[in-house]
Amino acid sequence: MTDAILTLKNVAYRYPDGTPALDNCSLTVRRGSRTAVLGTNGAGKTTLFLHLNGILRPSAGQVLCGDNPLDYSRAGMRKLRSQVGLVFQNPDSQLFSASVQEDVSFGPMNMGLEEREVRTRVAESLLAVGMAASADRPVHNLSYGQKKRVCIAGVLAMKPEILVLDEPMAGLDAAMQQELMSVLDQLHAAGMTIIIATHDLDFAYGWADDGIVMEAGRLLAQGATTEILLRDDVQMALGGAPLIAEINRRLLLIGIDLRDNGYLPRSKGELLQAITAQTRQESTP
Amino acid sequence: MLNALSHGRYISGTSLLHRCDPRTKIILALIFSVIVYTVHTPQSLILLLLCSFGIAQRAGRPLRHSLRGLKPIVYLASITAITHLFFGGGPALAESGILSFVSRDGAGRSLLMILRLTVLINGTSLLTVTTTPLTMMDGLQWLMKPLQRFGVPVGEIAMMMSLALRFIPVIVEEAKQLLKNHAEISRDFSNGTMLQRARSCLPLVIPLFAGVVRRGDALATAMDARCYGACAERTRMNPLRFSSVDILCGGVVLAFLSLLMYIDCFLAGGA
Repeated sequence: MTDAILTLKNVAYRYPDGTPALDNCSLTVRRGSRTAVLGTNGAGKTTLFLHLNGILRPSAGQVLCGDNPLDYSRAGMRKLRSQVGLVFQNPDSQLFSASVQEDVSFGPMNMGLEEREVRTRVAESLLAVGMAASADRPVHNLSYGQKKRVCIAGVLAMKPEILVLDEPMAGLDAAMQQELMSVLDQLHAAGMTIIIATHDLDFAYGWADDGIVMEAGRLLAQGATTEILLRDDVQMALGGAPLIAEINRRLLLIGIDLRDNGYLPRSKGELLQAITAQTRQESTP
Repeated sequence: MLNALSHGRYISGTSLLHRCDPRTKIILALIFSVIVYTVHTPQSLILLLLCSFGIAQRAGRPLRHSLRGLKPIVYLASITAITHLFFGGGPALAESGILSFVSRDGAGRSLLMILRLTVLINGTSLLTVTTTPLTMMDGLQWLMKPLQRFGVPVGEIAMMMSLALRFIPVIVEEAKQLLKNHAEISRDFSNGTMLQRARSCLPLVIPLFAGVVRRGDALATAMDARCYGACAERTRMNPLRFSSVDILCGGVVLAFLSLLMYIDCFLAGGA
């Protein structure tokens, strides 16, 4: 078994009206990694995600899950969609049941699971996203952040190995973003591979291990976020650099190196910690 | 009118009707609809109306909500009533004046028609108010199962119906938002002649329609992503089961409707 859980080999895709959406894309997602997919609007992030789940079939090239090319038969799709869970950006266009637990049960019921198994999975996934107490609440009474969590629970109930989220932080306030982040961290700690499309460079730099940068349907860069997000061409394509990376760079220019065990800070918390440690060091006689 | 459309949406609760199996409720709603069009006297219809208001209240739907839910039929009821009033045939209400154009039989029939529509809308909305879309879908699917033998895609039809029910309030909300965004259109929408109002609706209807298509597309993709259609037979978390509540509700409603039919025949015979 290879380290790659998902692979795209020279994938191209054109929409039925002829608009090219993906062009010769080759990339890999590592098993157990946290991967951020970055790109401006229209770069092809959502189209890429729809290929990972088998909703779209490439016009050319191949998508592999593990070592095997995707099987687009009914049985193959059932297996793939329970392995690769896809959460869309807008929760209002995904939730259609009256109550939270009814909605979460939709996926497992489509998989033909037994009543008892469906109940267990619904309870477990609601617990995982911190919505167990709201199981019987009507969906239309939930806040936007809660709806997003229910969407994630709906996908988790299918027990996927890979969770793919399309701009999960969009429309959430800072507190809700924190809540969602901790849910994702827990899932990752439990061994899940998480792929997130985002416009937030600071989030990608601080949270993701790997980054995939798309530009006009093509793969521009792939690798560790701490490396690729510092590249000029990537910063040009994304319209900026992560704030923490920029602070690190400026501090290095004036001779302040915040490196701890060879690593520069990646998030606001780490940066503040490094500055405090540096200040203490300097003030110690 | 937009407010009124969203009033048939599910209200969570634990009333007897809420606990009833959806199949029982659908069958009772069908029988109720037939009875509404079978009874002959206004007294019977008024009794049915009062009972449906009472049951709605017990199910957690306040009276003013039930009344607001009747708004959409005001136009239809008015047109029907006017048609009956002036073209009903038979003797006139008076020998001279405007009442000489009004048919006496037509007046009676239009009163019955308005009452029938009101009872029908209020009574049958109890089904959607006390049944979640998913259980409604399960109930419909079960009831339509015999059609599967003839190749009818029963599961898909039931899913379409439940999605339509679920998204009516959402679309109403979108329409309200559009009206708010286009205050100018909103003014035109409620003023002017019928033709002017219809014309002014266009800028509202087109984006609304586009929005519905977009939403439908997104929903279909999201359902695909969650394995919809991947298995020949979906399972259920809460399999449908008839219980003593169904026997109680079904028995009481059928006994009441039978008694009502008897009284109605008696009253109609007496008249």
